[in-house]
Amino acid sequence: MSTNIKIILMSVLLLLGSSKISALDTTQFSDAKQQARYTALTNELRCLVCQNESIAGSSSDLAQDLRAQVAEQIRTGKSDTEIRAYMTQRYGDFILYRPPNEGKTKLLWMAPILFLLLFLLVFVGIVSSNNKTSIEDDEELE
Amino acid sequence: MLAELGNLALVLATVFAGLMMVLGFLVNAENSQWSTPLRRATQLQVLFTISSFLILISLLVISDFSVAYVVQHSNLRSPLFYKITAAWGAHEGSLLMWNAVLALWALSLFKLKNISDLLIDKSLAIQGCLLFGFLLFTTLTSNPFVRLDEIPLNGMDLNPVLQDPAMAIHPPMLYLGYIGFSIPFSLVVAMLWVGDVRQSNLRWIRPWVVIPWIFLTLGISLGSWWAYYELGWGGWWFWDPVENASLMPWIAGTALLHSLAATEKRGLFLHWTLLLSVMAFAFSVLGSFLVRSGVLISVHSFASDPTRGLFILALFAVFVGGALTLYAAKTPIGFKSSGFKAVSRESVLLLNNLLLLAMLLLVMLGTLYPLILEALGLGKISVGPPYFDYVMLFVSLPLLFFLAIGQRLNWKSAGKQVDKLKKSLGLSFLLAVTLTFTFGIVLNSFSILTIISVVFSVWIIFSALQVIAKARIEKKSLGLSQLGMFVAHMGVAVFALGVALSNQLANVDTKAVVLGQTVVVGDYEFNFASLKQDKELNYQMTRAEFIVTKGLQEITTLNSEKRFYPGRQTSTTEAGIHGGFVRDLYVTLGEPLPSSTAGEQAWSVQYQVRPFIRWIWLGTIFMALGGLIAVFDKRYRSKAISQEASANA
Amino acid sequence: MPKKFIVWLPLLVLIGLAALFYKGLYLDTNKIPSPFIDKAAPSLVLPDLLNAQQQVNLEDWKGQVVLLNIWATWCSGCLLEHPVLNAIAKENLVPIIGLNYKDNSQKAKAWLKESGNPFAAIPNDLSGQVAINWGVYGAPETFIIDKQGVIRYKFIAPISMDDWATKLRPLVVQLQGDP
Repeated sequence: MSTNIKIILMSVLLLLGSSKISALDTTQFSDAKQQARYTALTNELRCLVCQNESIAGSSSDLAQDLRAQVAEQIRTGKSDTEIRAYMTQRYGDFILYRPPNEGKTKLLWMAPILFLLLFLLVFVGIVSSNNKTSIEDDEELE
Repeated sequence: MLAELGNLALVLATVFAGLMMVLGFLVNAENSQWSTPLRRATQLQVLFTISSFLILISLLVISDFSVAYVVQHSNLRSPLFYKITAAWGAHEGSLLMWNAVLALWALSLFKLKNISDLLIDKSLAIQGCLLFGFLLFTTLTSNPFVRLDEIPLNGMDLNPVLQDPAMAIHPPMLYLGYIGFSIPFSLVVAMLWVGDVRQSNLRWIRPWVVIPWIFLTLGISLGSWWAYYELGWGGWWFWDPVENASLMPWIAGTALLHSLAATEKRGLFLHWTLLLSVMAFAFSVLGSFLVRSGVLISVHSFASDPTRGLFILALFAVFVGGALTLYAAKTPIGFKSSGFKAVSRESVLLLNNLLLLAMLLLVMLGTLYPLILEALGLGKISVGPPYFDYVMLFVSLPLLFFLAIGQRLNWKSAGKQVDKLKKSLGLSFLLAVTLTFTFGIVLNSFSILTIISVVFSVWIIFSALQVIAKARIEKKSLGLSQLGMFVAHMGVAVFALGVALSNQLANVDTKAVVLGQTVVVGDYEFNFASLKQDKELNYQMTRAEFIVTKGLQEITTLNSEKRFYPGRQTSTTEAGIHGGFVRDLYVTLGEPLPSSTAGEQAWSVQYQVRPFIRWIWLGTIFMALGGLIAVFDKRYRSKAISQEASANA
Repeated sequence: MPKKFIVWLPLLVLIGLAALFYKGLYLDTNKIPSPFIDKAAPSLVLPDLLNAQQQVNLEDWKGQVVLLNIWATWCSGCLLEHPVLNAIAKENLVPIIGLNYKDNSQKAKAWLKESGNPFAAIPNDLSGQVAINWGVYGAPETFIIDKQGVIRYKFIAPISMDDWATKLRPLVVQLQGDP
C-alpha cells in the first residue's frame, strides 16, 4: 500500500472517535429533585475524552464512570458544590462548562454588566449631543 | 485527465484573480481605459473558478478514485445526491466552494447600477484581492485535485452524519451569507480608497446586506434544525465554538442592517456603518479561521493543521487589517447631523446597535476566553452553555423590550406621536400580559424569566399587528420595506417564544425498556411496539417502532433507528420525531443494555415532549421572509428598472 | 483628539486578536494540564496484576523518584509506547509503576508475556476509581513523582524516545539529585 493511502487511512481512523453518538443515560432516582440535580450536573460537566460534549451526552467510558460517580455522590447526600469540587480537584477547571466566578474568570462573569453600563454611557453621550432643540416632528420620513 | 483540467482551471482562476487586482489598481478617475479589461478579467475569473468547482463535482459523480479527495469522501455505494454534496463535505472541497461563491458575488457587482463605475472597478479590485488570497490558499495548501499513486477500488464515503438533506444545503446557504458580506466590505473599502463616501452610495449597498443576511439566517437555522433531528438528543444550539463563529457575522450583519437604515435615511452613524460593513465580513473570515485552524476545540472543525491556520490567519490579518487601516486613516468627519430626540427612531436604532454589539462582544469573549487564558499561561478553562445562556439574558430581554416600542417610533422625534403611541402600545402590552397569564395559569409552571420573555414577545407581535391592521383599515399601503421590517420583527418574537416555551415546558425521560413496555411522558404514552434489523444501500440498521397514544387516541407511530455505515465504520442515531405546531414528540433508540432479568433484552430509550420547539425555526423563516419582502421595496427598484432598460436596449 | 484615537481602536483590537491567534496556533489545545502538579500524590493502593494477593502501595516507593504510567491493552497508544517503556526500564535509571487501567487482566498478562514487562509493579485498577482520583482522562499518561511523593510532571500521549531523552529523563535526573 502506498504511503498516501496509509496516511488517509490513519486520518480516517483518528476521526472515528469524533463521530457524535450520543449516549442515553438511564440512571433513575426515586427523588425527582435528585433526578433534576443529576441531569443539571451531568450537563454542566465537560467530557474530557471527547471534549465537546457534556458527560451527560457522551458515550465514552470515562464519561460513564464520571456519571456513576455523580449519581453515587448525589445519593450519599453530597451537595452540588462538593461534587463540583471533587471534579475540579481531579481534572481542573476545564471540566466545568460553567466557569467558576473567581480571579481570572471574574472578568468573564462581569462582562455583561460592564458592557451594558459602558454602552449606556455611550448612548446617553450620543443622544445628548444630537438632541437639538430645533427638531420638528417629521412624519414624512417613514 | 479531468483532475488535471480542474487543476488548470484553479491555476487560471488564481492568475485572473491576480489580474483583477492589478487592473483594478491601475484604474482611476483619469484612467478608465483599464475598466473594460478589468471586467473581462472578472468574467473569466468567475468562469474558471466555477469550472474548477464543477470539475470537482464531476470527479465525485464519476467516482474517480485516483483523486485523494474523492477517495476520502465518497463511495461507490453512496447515493448520487451525497456524491455531489461531498464536494463541500470536507475542508478542500468546501474551500473551493468558498472561492466559487466569492466569485459569483463578485460578478453580482455588475448589477450595481447607481454607483460610479470607478467605485465598482475598485470594488472588483478588492474582490480580486480576496479571490487571489483564498485561491492561493487553496492551490498551495488544500488542493482538492491531488492524485494518489495507487488507485483504490472503493472510497471511504462521506461522513454519515453529513448524509442528510439539511446538512447538504446548510454549507452553501451559510457560504452565500458569509461571503455575500464581502460585497459591502469591498464597496466600503473602495469608497474609502477613492474618497467617495456618500449617503447615496451606502443606500445602494442595502440589498447586498439584506440578501446575504437572509442566506446566513436560513443557513444557521438549517444547521440548528439539522442538529435537532440528526444528532438525536433534541438540542438545537450547543454554543459550540464553531456555532458561535457562524453567529458572530450574523450579529454584525443584523447590526449593519439597522445602522444602515439610519445612515441611509438620516445620514447618521456613518462611521459606525462603515465599520460594521468591514466587521460583518471580517467575522466571516474569522469564523473560517476558527473552523479550519483547530485553534479552538470543536466537534465541527476539520483540517486542523498549523500551516493552513497560519495561512488563513495571514489572509485575515491582511484583508481586515488593510480595511481597518484605511478606515482609520480616511473616514471623513461625519455628515452634519440634523439631530434627533431621546425618544425617536434614531435613538432606538442606536440602542439596538449597542445591544447587538454587546451581544457580539459577549459571544466573542466567551468563545475566546479559554484561548486568552491559555495563551497567557493561566491554565485551561471551559466556557459552555451555562455561561452563554446566562449572559444572553442581559442583552436579549432589553432587545425584545425596545423592539416592541422602537418599531413604532418616528424618525427625529416622537413628539406629537407620543400620546397616541402610549395608548396604542399600552393596549397591546396589556393584551400580551393578559394572554401570557391566562396561558401561564393553564400550564401553571412558568418561571419569571419565561413570563417576561413571553410577555415581551407577544407584545412585539401585537405591536406590529396594530400597524398592519391600521394600514388595512385606512386602506393605506405600508411600503414593502416597512412591512418586511414588521414581519422580520414578528419572526424575532416567534423565535423567542419558541426558545422560552420549549425550554420551560419540555418533558424528557430516559428509561431502560423492553419490547412491549409503555412509558408515560407528559400526556403521552409511548409503547415500544417492535424491533427490526434491515439493510439499505450503504448502511445497516436496527429500527424500533413506538406507538404513541394520548388518552385513548392513537397519535402516531415513531421510528427510531441505529445505523451502521461500513464505509466509514461509524454508527449514527436517527430519532423518531412527530412534529406539530404546538409540540414535537421525539424518541431516540439508545443501546441494548446488559440484561439483568432473564430473557428479555432491555434497551435505553429517550422520550421527549417538546412544546413549541418548531417556533424556533419558524421564527427564523419569518425573519428571512421579512428581509426578502424588504428587498423588493420600490426604493431599491430604480436600479432594477434601469437594469431592465439597459438589458432591453 | 479622542475621536482620532477611536477610529484606530478597531485596528488595535484586530492586532491583539491576530497575536492571540498566532500564539493559539502553536498551543496544544487538546491537552489538559493536571491540577496535581506540585501536589502530594493521591493514595494508590491496589492489588498487583501479576499477583492479586499482593498489594501495591505507592507509599512504599517514598524516597525515590518513580514514573507512574497509565496503560491498558485496549489503548492503541499504549501498545505503541510499550517498546519505549521497555527501553527506559533497561536503562535502570528509574522504576516504572504501570497502572493497568480498566483492562482485561488475562489480556494484559498475555501482552506483557509477549512484549516484555518494563514495570516494577502493576497496580490493577479494574473499576477505574484510582485513575479518576489521579485525574486520568486518557491513556497513556505518565506521571513523574519525586522522592517526597509529590507529583512533578505529567505527560499525556505515548512517550517517544525523543520525549524521553529531552523532556522526561532530564527531569528525572534532576529530581534524583534533589535531597
